[in-house]
Amino acid sequence: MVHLPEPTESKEMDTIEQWIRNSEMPRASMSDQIMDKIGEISMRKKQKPSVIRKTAIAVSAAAVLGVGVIGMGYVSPAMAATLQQIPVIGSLFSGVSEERLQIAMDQGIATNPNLSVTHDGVTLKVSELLYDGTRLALQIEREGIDMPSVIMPYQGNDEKKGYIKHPTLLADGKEIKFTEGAFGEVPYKDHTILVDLSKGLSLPDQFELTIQTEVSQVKEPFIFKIPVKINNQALALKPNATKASDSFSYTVKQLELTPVSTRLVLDSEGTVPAAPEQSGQYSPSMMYYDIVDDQGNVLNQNQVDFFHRLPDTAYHIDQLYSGFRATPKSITFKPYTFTVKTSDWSIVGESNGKLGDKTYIKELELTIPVQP
Amino acid sequence: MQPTIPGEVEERGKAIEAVIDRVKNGDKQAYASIIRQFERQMYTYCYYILKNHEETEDAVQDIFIRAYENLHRYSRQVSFSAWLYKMAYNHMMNMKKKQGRWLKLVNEVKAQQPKVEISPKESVIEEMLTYLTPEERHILLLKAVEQYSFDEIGDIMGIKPATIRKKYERLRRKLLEHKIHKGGNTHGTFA
Repeated sequence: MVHLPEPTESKEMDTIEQWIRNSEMPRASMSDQIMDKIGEISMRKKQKPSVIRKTAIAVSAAAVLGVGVIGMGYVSPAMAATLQQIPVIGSLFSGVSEERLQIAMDQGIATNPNLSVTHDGVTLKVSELLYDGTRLALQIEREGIDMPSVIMPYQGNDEKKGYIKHPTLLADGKEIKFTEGAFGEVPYKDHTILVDLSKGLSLPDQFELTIQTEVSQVKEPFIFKIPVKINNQALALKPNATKASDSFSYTVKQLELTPVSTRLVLDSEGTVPAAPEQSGQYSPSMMYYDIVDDQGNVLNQNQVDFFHRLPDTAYHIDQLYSGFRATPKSITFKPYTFTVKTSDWSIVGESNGKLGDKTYIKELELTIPVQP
Repeated sequence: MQPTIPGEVEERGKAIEAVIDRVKNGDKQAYASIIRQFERQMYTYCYYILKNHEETEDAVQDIFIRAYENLHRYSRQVSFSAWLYKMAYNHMMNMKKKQGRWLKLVNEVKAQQPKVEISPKESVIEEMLTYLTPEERHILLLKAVEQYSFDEIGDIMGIKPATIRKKYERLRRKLLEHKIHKGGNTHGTFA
C-alpha cells in the first residue's frame, strides 16, 4: 500500500517528483538499437545510398529490435559474449568444423590470401577470403595506425589518418552486384574490417576479384587483385515440400549446402499460430525456422531479424545458416516463434546471449531426405 | 529528494565528460554507455509529455541519435546532461509543431485504449499531469527527472529562471488544489 504523505506542501511536491524520477522504463535498454541506427545512418551518409545494409555478422545471431532489419556494425555485449565462446574468434571461418574447413580450403572456398599493400606508412592486408558461390566475405587488416577505430565514426574527423573507407569490389573489372551485405569492424579482432556480401550475388566459379579502398589522409588508393577459383560442389536441393497446419503453411523452395554455409529459401502463407501465452498483451513473432541435421545438430542462423510489428501473412525467406558438419541423410525444419510484448515489442526471455524463448510448432515440423 | 553525496554529481559529470571525449576521438561504441546512463530518465521525461510508448521510444531514439550527430558542437560550458535535455525539449516542441493536433489525438487514442500494466503511481502521475499546461509539464518533469535548478530549466527551455520559478509555484498550487478537490481519491491508498 502506498500513501501520499502530506505534511507540508513542499514535502508533497518532493514526493511527486520522486515518483516521477523513479519511474521505470517499461522495456530493455535501447542502447543497442540506437547504436545500430547510428551505424546505419553513418553508412547511408558516408557510402553511396542503399548500397549495403548493415547485417549481423555473427555466429549465432544478432538480435536487435527496431523497424526494419538492423544488425551488425555494432555487436551487443550479449552477442559479443556468445562470440567469445567460439574458438578462433573473429575469423570468418569460426564455427566451421576442422574437417569442413579442410574441404573448404581444398575447394578454394576458404583462403588466406595474405596480400598486403602499403602506402604512406599504412599497410592493409587481405587476410581471409571466403567465396562459396553464394556468399562472398573477406577481412582486411590494418597496420601502422594506433587508434582503435578502423571505420570512421559518424562524426569522426576526416582529417584523422587511418580510417578504412568502404571498399568497392569488382569481379573481372565489373562492380559486383548484390542485394544484402555487411561492412563493419570485426568484434574481438582489432584493426580489422569485414565485408560480407550475402544475398543477390551472381558470380561465376572463377574470376579475378579486385578490392579497391581508401584510407583517410592517405592519397593513394589501396588496390588488391586476387584470383578466385572454386571447385563448386554446392548441393542445391529444390524440395518444394509444403507443410500446413491450421491457417499457416510454408514451402521449402530451395536449400543450398556448401561446406561453410547453408541457404534456405522458403515461402510462407497465413496467420502465424499463437500459443496460449501469446495472447492479450503478447503476440507471436513472425515464424522462424531452425534447421536440424539427422544427428540433432542445429545450424546457426547468421542473422535473425526482428520487426517492430505484428507478423504479416506472407513471407519470402532467404536466410543463410552455418554449414552442416557433414552432408546429412535428412534435414528437419523446426518452425518456431518468439513471444513479443506488443506494448514495447520486447522479446520474452531475451537475455545475455539468448534471443528469447522459442515456441516450437510441432505440427509444422518437416523432414526432407537428402540424396546427394 | 534522493540523498546526494557531496561531490557525487561533480564526479558523475567528470566521468561523463571523459566518455564524451572518447566518443569524439573516434571510440563510437563508448556512446552506448551514455545512452544507458540517461535513457531511463529521458524515457520518463518523454513519456509523460507524449503519453504513448511507441512515440516515446521513437523520440528517445531520435534524441540520442541527434545528440550523437551534434556531439562535435557540444562544449563543456554547459553540462552534457543539460545540453542533452535541451535537445530533447526542442525535439518534442518540434514534434508538436509538426503534428499540430498531436496532443488531442494522443489523448483520444489513449481514451480508447485500456491502460496496460501501469502502476498505481504512474496513473496518479498521469492524472496529475492532465491538470497542467504543456509548458508546466516540461517544467515539472525537468525538475523531477534530473533535479535541475530553475537556472538550468530556464536554459533548457529558453525562459528566464525567475519566470520558471513563478511558473513552478503556480503549477504546484494547481496540483495541490486538485488534490484537495479530489479529496480521498488521490489522497487515498493504492494497492
